[in-house]
Order: sequence, then structure tokens, then C-alpha cells
Amino acid sequence: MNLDPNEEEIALVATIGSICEDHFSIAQLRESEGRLDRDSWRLLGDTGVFSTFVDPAKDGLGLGLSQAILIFEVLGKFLVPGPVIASVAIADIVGDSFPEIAKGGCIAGVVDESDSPIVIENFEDLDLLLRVGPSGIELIEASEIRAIPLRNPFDPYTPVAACSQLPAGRIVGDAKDSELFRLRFGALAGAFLLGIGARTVDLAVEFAKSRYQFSRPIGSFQAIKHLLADAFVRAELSRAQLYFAGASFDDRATGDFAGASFDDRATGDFAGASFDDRATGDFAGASFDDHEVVNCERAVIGARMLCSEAAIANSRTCIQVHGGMGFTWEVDAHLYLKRAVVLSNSLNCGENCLEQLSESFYNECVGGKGGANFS
Amino acid sequence: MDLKLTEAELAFRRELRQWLTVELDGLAPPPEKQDWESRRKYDLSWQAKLYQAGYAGIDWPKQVGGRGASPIEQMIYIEETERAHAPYVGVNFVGLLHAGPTIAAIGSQEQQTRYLPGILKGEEVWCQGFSEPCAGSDLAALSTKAVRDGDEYIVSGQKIWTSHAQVADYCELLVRTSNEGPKHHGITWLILDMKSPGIEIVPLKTIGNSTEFSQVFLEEVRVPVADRVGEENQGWKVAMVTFSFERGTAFISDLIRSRELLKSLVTIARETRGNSSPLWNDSAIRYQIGHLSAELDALWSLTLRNVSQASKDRVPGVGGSVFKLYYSELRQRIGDLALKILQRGALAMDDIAGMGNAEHVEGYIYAISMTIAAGTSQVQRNIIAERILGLPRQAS
Repeated sequence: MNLDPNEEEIALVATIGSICEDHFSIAQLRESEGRLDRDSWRLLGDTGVFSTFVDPAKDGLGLGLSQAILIFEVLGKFLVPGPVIASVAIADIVGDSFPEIAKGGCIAGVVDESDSPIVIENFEDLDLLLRVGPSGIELIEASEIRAIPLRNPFDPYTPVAACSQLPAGRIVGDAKDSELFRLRFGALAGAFLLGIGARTVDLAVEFAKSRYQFSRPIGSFQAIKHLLADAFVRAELSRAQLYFAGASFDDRATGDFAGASFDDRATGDFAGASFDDRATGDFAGASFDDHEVVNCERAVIGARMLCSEAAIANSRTCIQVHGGMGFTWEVDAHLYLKRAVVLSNSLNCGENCLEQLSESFYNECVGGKGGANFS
Repeated sequence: MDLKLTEAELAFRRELRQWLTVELDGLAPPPEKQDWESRRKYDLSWQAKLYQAGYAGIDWPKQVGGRGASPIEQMIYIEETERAHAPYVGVNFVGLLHAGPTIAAIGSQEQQTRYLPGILKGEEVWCQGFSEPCAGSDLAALSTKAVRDGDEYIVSGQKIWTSHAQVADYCELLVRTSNEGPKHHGITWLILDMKSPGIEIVPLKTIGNSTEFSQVFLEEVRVPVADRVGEENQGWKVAMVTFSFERGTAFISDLIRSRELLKSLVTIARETRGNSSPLWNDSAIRYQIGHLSAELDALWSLTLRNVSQASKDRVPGVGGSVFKLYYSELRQRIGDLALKILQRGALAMDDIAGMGNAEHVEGYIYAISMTIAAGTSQVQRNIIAERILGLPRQAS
């Protein structure tokens, strides 16, 4: 059992980090004025970011969700712009018809079928738009969409356009694909948000050490210390749950049940099961053993919710610790807050998550599907 | 990253589970909560059973008779005993988790031979004499005085928050042997025989109506120098060794029980009516429970992360403060929600018509202590800010 990056994963994080330092700094983001740069997008493709889940036999990295989470945590720290999450989550699902998505030659955004109003992120730079619903995934050519760019996006580096009705698209995925897409999107949005939640603590701590008032660094005051300690705890808690969600998904996906209790190992044979079976199959992992059945979907939903809360609260703390300067455009703190809000408002979030979490916990209480196996 | 347990860890779980099934079958129910003599007997007899089966001192080094388990195995141990509703460590807490490990690490050969078997076998009970009325969060300010007189120390002063003092055989005692230099110099760690003349134990009733804690008054109590652990004036370092045994496992039982509490709240919310329909139909209640359940999930993940780090590095992490701070406040929020759901059922610590309210009302009160005991939330925040985030210490 290990819930920290191993050596290979640390190297992966370092590689992505140095690419971001060179090509996706906040200064470069500010220069972009909100438009995506095709060369940079291609660079992300060349690095393998979009082909994270693509089979190595098809030139992909073939990595697990845990590794993808680590990659996206780095992207979050740098506020890498554009629909990076949608692109990686769909790349292998539509790989045969749209291989360019994985290579970074084609930019695909996403909306939820239930979105109201319909607001499309990065509309002017999209080639394709995915519409995700419970029954499947549709793909719409961006050129066929009529949408009005809005002049004042909440996040200056996530331009948005309003659309009253989307044209019908081509079905590229079924309900199972949609479920997988949502799970990945939730986990990676969580990772991006974790990057924001952790980065804003670092920035605020750095500032609190160097900013003097009353002849002392403001970080020596307990009032500031306690704000920052709470921010750190929020980030660490959400990190633990997100890493757990990734690891439990990967253990399940590989059919590796070494973490399961002996009862479940004796009766369960999930190796080689279809995604469908795995998605619905109960799996007792290290968590509470068979007291609590690890339900990856539930773990991801909870993780993303906590990552989102941490990212928003911590960027607010970052602004507060910066004082008046934190309220200015030139200090980066607001950029983190704004991106966190964008990511907290896409694909399955808010009250919907709370409903799913309470339902899942209720099922655990009554011993139903996805619930506990009372012995 | 992975959640896989090794074959050895799985085998450990399997054996323990089978043993618990056999051993717990027919075990007498625990005695009344405030009947400390009976509780002492009950907890010691359970410890004796653990000893016979080779589960005593699960995390103690093998050379002193422990099992030498890794933090992961220790976690499995706590998880299994808790899920099987085995007796809690109870009066053996200080011996098994504080005093014993300290003597194992620092004590002399004679002290280890004399004191450790009694703890492991369930024969002797220990209590803790650290805090004082004027030394709480600032423990190093303690002033209970020990003056050397030949082969003995003469100890006078007052200790507080001493759990199970009324049934303890020994006390791990911090005393001041010098007033020179910084305050955490000049402290000495002693083994106090609770039968010594000059000790007065006065129970201190809590707001939960429990007499677990006592004040211990010491008046010219004689302690042999041979019962000093570590060097004179080095007691602070000795005490810190005890604290560094924190391996992320401290709150595992508690966390598992919190989940059971929240589940019980779901049952009550399904069966209790607010206005005309069950409270569970109220989305405000449902969402709060959904949120709390996700936070409990996350605290479990944090535990797994802390425990796996401790198993790997063998270095005490700071993850314990992160966990304790969040967990204690979460428990209070569960308590707040419980009172809201219980409505009139919140008015008694006795069960009303099978409602299951008592444990929640007790839990509400108990949770109030959690942000105070074992380092207040405010101290935890200072620790996180200074030791993890590297913020400057406050100018004194």
C-alpha cells in the first residue's frame, strides 16, 4: 500500500513540471489574452498529455488514473488553459475516428447535456464539442454551432460563448463510455483543482514570510498562521481522497485484488471482467475492508467535491493574505480563484454530487448495492 | 500509488479475524462505565487474552516482547478489533501506548525487565502525570518539584487530567529537577508507584458526567532514583520520544466508530418525522450527511496515506496534526447535526423508546473535548504553520 508517488511517478511529475515552466507560465498565460495557441496545444500532445489513457500499441502512454491525476495536478498549478481534461478523457474513446485529439492536432471541448444555460468554454478555439449525457456521448463540429462569445468571462483565460441550442451531433460513445468519461473528468478536474488548492497555499505562505507589517513578517501572527494551516489541511485532505480514488480505480481496472479482504478474494473473480462488470461490481479494497465496499465512483465524486472546496477556499485565503494587493489584477491570486470556479461548475457537481453521496451512503447503511457487506 | 496489501499483511488480517471470532464469542458484556474497579478487571483480562495469543504490544519492538508490527499491520489490527467490537484498550492505554514504548526505547535493562511484562500480560495499569493546572498547552512550564535526597527524589506538586488514576499501579510522571536554563531543560521522567505514601487522588468530573479524569496531589512522595527513565533533566526529550510514537494510527478506532455514528443518524433520520415526512426526505439533512460521509472517506484515505508513509519511512510524520485538527472539528459537526436530527430526543443521555439517541447525545458532549485534548486545535494550527509551512515563530 502506498498513497504517494513512486520514483517513476515523481519523474513524470518533474517532466510535466519543466514543460509547464518553459511553455505555460502564468506570464505566458497573461500574454495569451485567453486564446489558445495551437503550437502549445500540439506540444502538450507531443508530451503525451492527451494520450495518457491511449494504449501504448497505438502510440499512447497507457497510464492509469493515478498517474493522470499527478499530471493534471501539475497542469492545475500552472493554470494551463483550454479543455485539457475533456481532451484526455475522450482521446482513447474516439481514438480510431479522431486520432488527432490525442496528438494535440484537434481541440475538443465539452458540455453536459443537462447544462442550462448552455455556455461553451474556449468556443472560438474549438474544433469539436462533446455533449455528454447519461445515454452516451455526441460529437458536434464546432463550425456547425452558433454561439455568441461573451465579452466578460468570469475567468479571463477561459473565454465563454452562449448558445441557445446545439445542433444534433454524431454519437461517438454509449452509456458506458459516458460513465467512464465522467469518472475520468471528475478525477482530473479534481486533480487540476488540487493543483490550485496546493499552489495557492504555497503562494500565500511565501508572501506571508516576506511581507512585513508592524515590523514583523505577517506570517508570524497567529491570525495568519491559522488561516494558512486550515488552507493546508484542506489541500492535504482532498489530496488523500483523490489519490485514494485514483489508486482504487487502477487496482480495480487491473483486476488486482491483493488489497481485498480474504472473503472477497475467495469469492470474487474480477480479472478479465468487462468495464461494465467492473463498474458495477462491488470491490472491497483496503478501505474499511469489507465494512465499506470501495466504490470508485463515490470516491471520485467525494474527492472532486473536496478538491473543489479546497481550491476555492484556498484561493480566497490567498487573496485575503495578500491584503489590498490581493484584490488587484496584477497579483495572480484571483486567476486561481476564477479557474477554480470554472472547474467547479462543469460536468456533475454541486448539489448533484451531494445527492449522489448521500444516496451512496444510504445504500451502505441499508446494505444495498455499493453498500456495506455486514457480516 | 496502490492500495494493495502484501500476502503477509493479508495473512495477519485473516488469522486475527479468526481468533477474534472465537475469542469474542461468549465474552461477558463490559461493566458499567463509571465502575472503574470492574473496568480495570475487564480490560486487564482482555489484555491477558491478547498476550496469550501473541497480539499484545502489537507495535512494540520484538526484543522487549512486542510483535514488531509495521504501522500498516497495526492499522489492520485496530481495524479488525474495532469491526469485531472487541474491547477497547481502555485502562491499558497509557501502558501500551505511552509509558511502555518509552521504557522500551529509553529505559534501562532492569526497568524493561521489571515493568514491560506487566503491561503486556495485562497485570499492571499505568496512568499519565504530565499536565498540571498551570501547564496545559505549555507543558514545559510544569512545576511539580523533585528534590534529590540520597537514592530518592522527594516529589511535591499537582497533576491534572490523569485518566484512570484511581485504578493505576504506576504513573509516568514528569517533574522539575532544575530551574536553570530554558524551561524544557530541567524536566525529569519518573516512574511513580501509585501505592507510595503522600498521593491523593481527587476525581474531576467532566461535562459528560464522567469521572475518568482525576487530579493527583503529590506531597513529599518518595521515588527511588532507580525509577528515573533517562538522565536527570533530560525528561523533555524522553517525553518527546513518547509523542513520536504517533504513527498515524491514534484515531483509527475512533474514526471507524464515527462512521457507525453517522450511519445510525441515517437510520434515525429515516424513522423520525419532521412536520409530516421523514427527516431523510429533507435535502438539507441529506446533503449534510452526504458531505460528512465524503469527509469521513477522505479522513480514512488520509489515514492510509499517513500509515503507509510511516511504514515506509519509519519516521514520525506531521500528518498526525493534519488529521487531528480536521477530525476533531468534523466530529463536532456530526454532533451538531445529531442534535438537529434527534430533536426532543436530544434531551436525555438515556435511550428513549429504542430511538438510539443516547450515543449521539453522549457523542455530542464527548466531541467538545476533542478540540482540546491531545493538543488544542489552536496549538495544532501553530504546529502546522511553523513545522510544516515554515512560518516564523511568534516573537515572545
